[in-house]
Amino acid sequence: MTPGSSRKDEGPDTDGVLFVLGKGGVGKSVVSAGLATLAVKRGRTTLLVRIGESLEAYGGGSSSPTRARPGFDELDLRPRAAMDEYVQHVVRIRPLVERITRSEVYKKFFAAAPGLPELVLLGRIRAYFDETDRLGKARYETIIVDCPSSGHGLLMIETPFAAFRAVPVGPFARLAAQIIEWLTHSVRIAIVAIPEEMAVVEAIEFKEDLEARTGLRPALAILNRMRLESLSREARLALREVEAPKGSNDHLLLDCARESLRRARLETFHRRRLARGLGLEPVLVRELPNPRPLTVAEALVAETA
Amino acid sequence: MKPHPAISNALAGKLIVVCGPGGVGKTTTSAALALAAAGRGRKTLVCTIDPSKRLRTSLGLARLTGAPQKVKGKLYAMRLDPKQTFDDLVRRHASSAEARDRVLQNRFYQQISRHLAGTHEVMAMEALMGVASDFDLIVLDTPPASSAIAFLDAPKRVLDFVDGRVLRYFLKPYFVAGRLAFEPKTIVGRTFLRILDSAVGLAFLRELSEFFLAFEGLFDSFRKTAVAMEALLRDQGTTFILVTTPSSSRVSEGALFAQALRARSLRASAVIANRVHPWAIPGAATPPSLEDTKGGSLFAKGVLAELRDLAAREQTRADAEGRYLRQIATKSGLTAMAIPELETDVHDLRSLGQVAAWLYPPGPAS
Repeated sequence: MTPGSSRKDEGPDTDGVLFVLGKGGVGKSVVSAGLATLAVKRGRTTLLVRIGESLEAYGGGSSSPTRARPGFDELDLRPRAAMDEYVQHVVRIRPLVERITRSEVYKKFFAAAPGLPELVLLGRIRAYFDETDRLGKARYETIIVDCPSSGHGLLMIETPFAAFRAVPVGPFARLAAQIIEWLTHSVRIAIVAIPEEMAVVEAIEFKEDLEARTGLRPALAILNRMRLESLSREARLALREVEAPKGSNDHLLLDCARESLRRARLETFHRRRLARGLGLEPVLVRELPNPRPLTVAEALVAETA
Repeated sequence: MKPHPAISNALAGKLIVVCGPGGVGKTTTSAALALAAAGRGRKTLVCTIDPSKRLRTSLGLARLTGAPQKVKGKLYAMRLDPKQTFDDLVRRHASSAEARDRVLQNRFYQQISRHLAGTHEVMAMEALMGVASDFDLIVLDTPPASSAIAFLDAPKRVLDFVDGRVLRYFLKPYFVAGRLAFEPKTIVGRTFLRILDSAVGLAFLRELSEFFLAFEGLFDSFRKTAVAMEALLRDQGTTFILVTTPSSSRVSEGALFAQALRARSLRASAVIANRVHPWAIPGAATPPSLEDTKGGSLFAKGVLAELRDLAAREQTRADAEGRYLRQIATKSGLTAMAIPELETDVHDLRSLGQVAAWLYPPGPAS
């Protein structure tokens, strides 16, 4: 944590580099944006990196962040753009750079060389982590990385480990080793899930696979889209004792309350299961009708307070 | 209720490709569609990649098998294993036992067969085309992918990849025996090599080169599968269905999917929204009225207020889902169908039947 500033709220720790992972459809992107917004609210200079849904070698994205507002930069990072930038860095002669990056051979090589897009991406994020201003102060105090969903996200993190095991010598291995060192000591991993069977099971499997393949463990668990409804003691009593005529409005109200109670129990079940499986008590995020970074940031803090 | 023509037509065709991102209930929907088709007397096979354990059990797919298994009546199921299919393809086409082992053990192969974009999709089609002639209809549950469109682009991606002419031309002559056999003629070629050497090292390139040499004989059969897949996707009897959920993040996806199908002249039949709040579907459930005058005498005043608040929040959720459903339909221009959220996980034929009945209400045969 930066001297002179401190967290006043009770929400999750957002300092440093946080990789946000989870199954598709659990709200990983909006949770990532929420975490970044929370960091900005805490006065941290923040970078939100979106890798997007897949490790597409082609198309779109850039490799330089855009300023969303003071203290908050955003970046849609694509491996291809990061690789082009690397070529530019090495070659320096602009017309030549363009001829290379536009050539078919270059495109195909990049698409076909397994592990290369992943390593280039991780290397680029690490470079942002290392960047300092003239006074030696880190350019970003918080970097939130919205990773590709489950399988692809794991593949990305696993790549330097697998690459190093496969070819432990040469420049490729040195690059992999540097990234492994960084992932192990400076990166925290957050897993996002929702209170549903598949999402919770997959989050736990992800944790186990991650640990088996890389030795890394998640530092943060987030259980998104929790309804967190509860019933008073009187209402629960009424559910047991009141007998309303079938089809009456009272009967419908009781049915609705029963369903709500059933769901609440299911949420508790999934929360406990996730906590046990990950060895982490999850941060709960209330279900929002139309989640936005700011409302998610508030929700991230609200349930821990 | 009468069956919707979009679904009737799809069930009368030869292949239904069920697309959608992971976690929306694609497998369940595929199985339910197949069950409905089998119910109207068509010999139907549902091909699925990774069914949940309980669904697997009820579909009779407890054992890992790459062959169609009879479930019940005219319904058959087959579990697809893309990695296995890929390995089989290598075994079938490798020129010698040594070549086969070289491919299977190469770390690039291991990476590619697991992860290269498009391979899972093409391998699914490869497995499917082997058994297609035995069935009236096949329902294909596409591999879990980040986006619904990934499946449509799979053949092109694989073709791009196996179009190794450029790649092989580039790699082969230079890296034989692990050293530069000759200097590329162009300045671009020379500079590029220099970059590669400094970035990844020649050891890496050598292994890659070796992979391509070992894999060379397989490129052709790979290309054939991808080409056949393209043709099958364009067939008159093939329709596409998108499975989704009623949430804000899925609205644009529906539109993009419909657009992608149109751009490729493929036939979309419907969007099916899963796990929809029953109150958002006409005829699925009766929500309580929140008016003061409706009942309530059985409860203490505070309890009544609490129950009404609860129901009001529930209604808000249902309204939002209804809104997203309408947006998905409008923006995609496709028929949108809704399946209400069931109380339990769908994991047996009975609950699958319930889902099937929503998609294709049983009644007098049409």
